[in-house]
Amino acid sequence: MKIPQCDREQQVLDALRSGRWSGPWGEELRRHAAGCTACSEVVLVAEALRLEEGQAQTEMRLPSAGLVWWKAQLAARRAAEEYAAQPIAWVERMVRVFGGLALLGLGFWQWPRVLGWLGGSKSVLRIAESSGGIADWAREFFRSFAEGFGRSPGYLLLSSGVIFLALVASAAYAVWREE
Amino acid sequence: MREITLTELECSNVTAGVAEEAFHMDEQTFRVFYEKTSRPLWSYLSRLSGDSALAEDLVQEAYCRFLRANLKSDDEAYQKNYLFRIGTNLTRDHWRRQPREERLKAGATEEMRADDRTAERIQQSSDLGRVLNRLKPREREILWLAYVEGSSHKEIAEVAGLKAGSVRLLLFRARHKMARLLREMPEGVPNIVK
Repeated sequence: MKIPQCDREQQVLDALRSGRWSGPWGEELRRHAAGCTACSEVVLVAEALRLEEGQAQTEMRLPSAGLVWWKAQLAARRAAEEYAAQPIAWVERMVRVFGGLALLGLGFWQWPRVLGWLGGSKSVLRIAESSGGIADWAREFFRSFAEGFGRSPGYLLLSSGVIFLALVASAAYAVWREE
Repeated sequence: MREITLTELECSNVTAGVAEEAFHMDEQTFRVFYEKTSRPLWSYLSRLSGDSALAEDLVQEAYCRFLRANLKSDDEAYQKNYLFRIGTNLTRDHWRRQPREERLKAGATEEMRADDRTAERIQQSSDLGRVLNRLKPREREILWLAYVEGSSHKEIAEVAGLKAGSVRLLLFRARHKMARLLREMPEGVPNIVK
């Protein structure tokens, strides 16, 4: 596409910006612009935008430099804190992921025991339904639980392992958080 | 009452130090730079976004990001262009997040907000505001930079994120479109522009 251009566009624009346009020094340029399509367009658009800029100056609501500096400092501080907290957030995520995976693995590994325990729970519920009162139900539950432990030492070992792992994870997390 | 320990005080000092170290200029230099650039930046962003209140927020955010930026040069023109580029990108981000209907409503509100001054001036201003609103944001950007800020094609390309070679054509098209819209105004071209 061929762009209609005039070599004096920049001159016209400079005259408009400096204020020479309306003075005697701009006489010759004004005559030129009257007969030049490109320059007359420049004058029309530049003057309209200059008018709009003047209007913008009257509407201006600017905060002080001090307030902006203070806000920038706060934002920088926040960014620095977020940057410093990145490793902690990373460890948090890792603990969640590995904790979840460990529980899942444990579940698969001990699936027969879990099923057996669930069966035991069903029998406990049946006892609760038949005996009626909450106190009776609780008494029966703890009794059957204790008997379960007595019959199978694996229960005790499994529970201790899970509690131990949970405690280690919590302690590691607390130490990281503190640091 | 809660006691502030020495460790906390030390920590707050260290954090303040970190914040100031992150800036590439000191407060005094910033104040001078702000005095020179804040008014043109506000005018540019208010006309680009069509919203004075939004322009105020954008100006503050632009300076915050500018202070934290890693600038390649201490040259004032370069810094000003960089600031305008941040402002332009922030406005574009805002527009992307906002649905079209809200943008049109924002433009209408801005026209209604034309306050004080004489009735003629308000009329002229809102007419010009309507003309500007009918231009594409990119057209407003390059016209304002070229004819109000007096930026060169290279500077416009840097601020608007364009190729330097395409600015000439885009500027010509935008200028031609705005001139046509000004001539088509129902009340004719305002006297002050004639």
